[in-house]
Amino acid sequence: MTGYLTILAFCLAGTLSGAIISLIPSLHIYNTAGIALILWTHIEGIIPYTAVAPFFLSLVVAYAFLNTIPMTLIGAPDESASVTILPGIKYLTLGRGFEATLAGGIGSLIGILFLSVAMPLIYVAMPFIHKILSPHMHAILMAVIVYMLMSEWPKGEGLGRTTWERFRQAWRNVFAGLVTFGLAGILGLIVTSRTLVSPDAGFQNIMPVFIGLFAIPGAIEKLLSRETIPPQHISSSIELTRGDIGWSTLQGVIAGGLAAYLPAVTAGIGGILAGHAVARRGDRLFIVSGGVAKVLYYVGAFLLLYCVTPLTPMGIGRGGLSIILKPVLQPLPRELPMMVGAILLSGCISFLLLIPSTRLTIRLLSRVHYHVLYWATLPLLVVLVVFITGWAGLALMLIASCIGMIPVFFHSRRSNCMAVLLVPIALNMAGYGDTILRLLGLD
Amino acid sequence: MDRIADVIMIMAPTPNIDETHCPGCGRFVGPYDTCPHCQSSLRHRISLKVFRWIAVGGSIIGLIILWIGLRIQEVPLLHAGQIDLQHNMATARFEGKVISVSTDDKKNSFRITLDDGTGLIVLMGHGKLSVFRKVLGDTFPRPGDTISAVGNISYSENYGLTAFIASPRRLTMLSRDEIIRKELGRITREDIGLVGRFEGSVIEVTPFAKGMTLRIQDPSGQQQLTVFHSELKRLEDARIDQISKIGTTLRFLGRVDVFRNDIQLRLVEPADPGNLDVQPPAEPASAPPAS
Repeated sequence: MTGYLTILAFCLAGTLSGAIISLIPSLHIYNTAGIALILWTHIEGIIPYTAVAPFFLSLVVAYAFLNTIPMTLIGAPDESASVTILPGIKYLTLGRGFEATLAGGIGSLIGILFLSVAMPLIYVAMPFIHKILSPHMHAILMAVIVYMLMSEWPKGEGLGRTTWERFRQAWRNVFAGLVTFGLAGILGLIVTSRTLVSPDAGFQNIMPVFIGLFAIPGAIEKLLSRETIPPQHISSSIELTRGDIGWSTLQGVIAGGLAAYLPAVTAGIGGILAGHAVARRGDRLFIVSGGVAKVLYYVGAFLLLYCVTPLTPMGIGRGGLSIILKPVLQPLPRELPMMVGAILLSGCISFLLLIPSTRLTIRLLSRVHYHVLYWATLPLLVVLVVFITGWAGLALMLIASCIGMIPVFFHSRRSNCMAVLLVPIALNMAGYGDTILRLLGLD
Repeated sequence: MDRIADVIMIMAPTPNIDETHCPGCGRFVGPYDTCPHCQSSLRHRISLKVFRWIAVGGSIIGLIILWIGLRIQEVPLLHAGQIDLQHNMATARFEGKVISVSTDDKKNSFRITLDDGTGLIVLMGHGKLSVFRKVLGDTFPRPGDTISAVGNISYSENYGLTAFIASPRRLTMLSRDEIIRKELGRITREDIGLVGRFEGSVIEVTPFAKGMTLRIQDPSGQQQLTVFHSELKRLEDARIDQISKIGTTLRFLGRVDVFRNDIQLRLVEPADPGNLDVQPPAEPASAPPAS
């Protein structure tokens, strides 16, 4: 009974901590989770071993829910959601930010319910799927890369004075996407071969790169923007039909499933693939399916670690949380029901927290300009990077920021920045890791 | 609808905006210097083009500087004893003596256990054994060698402390002691860890669940040699059956080890050429057939 109460208490603590952290724009839960784990190892006994996984899992569950607030209300997407943000902004400008946030939250709740129900089936089926797919993972990742690049279409209004001007306007975003992808890929190859960051900060050596690629450009974009947030209506109902829920569940499960299983594929990239697979359009579908996908991407990926079977004796470790907890965690299949219970509890509490938190944020934004929040977050991110990874980390962050700014200024997909992981992982899995090291002279 | 149009103006490139429109919000301002809608100045502005090209130029120059910086930077040396959770995923250099080497041709993988004086670290290469053998040739590590290796630290509850080596050029031989021939009767506790050549005849075989203990003898004395089935499996020839026959003479590369406080010998990479020679006992001369 004491053990049960301890786990319950740490689930609640994780959910509350995750909820608070999620409200800080541009701060990723994996950064704070990594630091929390190091603190845990230095302050022995602060969390009992049995409660470590439920605590961190609840932290991530709360993030998957409440991160929708900064994403929708002040446009601070994480790496998983660069695709799902646009319909959210549209809702915000129409004074329906509250509704959009809750629609995303409903998607996340659907994701949690789906995981809770489907986990036994996933536990049985996933090892076989993994056994079949894992030898071909490099080919699958290459296909994802090709699809990602080919699915970016020319934009532009066709208003240029000359043919060249019109051509340039239309193709600028496609070309910028390719440049972003190429530069992020090169950065990924370099930092995964060697890194400037001291080995003492090895556990967060990719953090400056991610903050640089996603958080800093997003913050700068918002600081440059003159956009104002119109008054928001607090509605008591959500415009959703059964069809919307059905289709968005399907789209979200496909997107999240791909993102949870395929290394370096985020919910955003999964969303591109799933969007084309389901072939349905609509802002509501987009927002709700984004919520479903986010839960599967963050939470489902971690639960795959518990698929410990004779076919997969070490589990199928996927996602950032698995990497963070790998040094201290030895997952046992008998713990899986406890984890499902933890996500169900944490998910439901997170949804309940989402409603007042959204109201509170809307009230805050009516009094404080969102620029103020970004002016506060930007130095916080820089201090965090310098504190953990030193000046070398700051240099890495600056380089990554320049790359991350290209899609912001040229209006191409920000998910192209994920090439930082996609390219080195795909090439290493294909067996070209050694050749790349030699070509770069970093062997 | 106007609001949506405004947002689209902000988010999309805004070509053909003339001087009568606000470059900040895109709305009509007429002859004013400051936009009456968004209050932005129409005179003191920096074109977004500048930021665009700073982003493109900064990333290219940054990548070049980063690449040069990393090429000239020495990978820091770490000791196994000082590695903590925070070093997980760091790239570091390790130097030490090879304690054991195990290879798996089927999985094309290897594991090298290194002792750097402060602790043990396992160097691993998944799917890279053939490349390492091809590039390193004779200098592929064997027990007793002192090597330097650059690897990515992986600290896990399942595997313990390991470092993954990405390239054979990240593994260098620092020194290789000449392999001496040691008589069985002269092996002492001071020799624990020593890799040498040994020779003896099998005089006793004691099987156990995962292998067998052979008592071998030469003119100077006797010693125990522990052989595991997993080691024999890799031989894939007649030596598997011959090794456990009384009277067989074994010439092998071995390591002096200790188990439950007793000295024992262990084979070193028996599947590698020249590391294990098995001579079956001489057949007794058959009697001439009776006429």
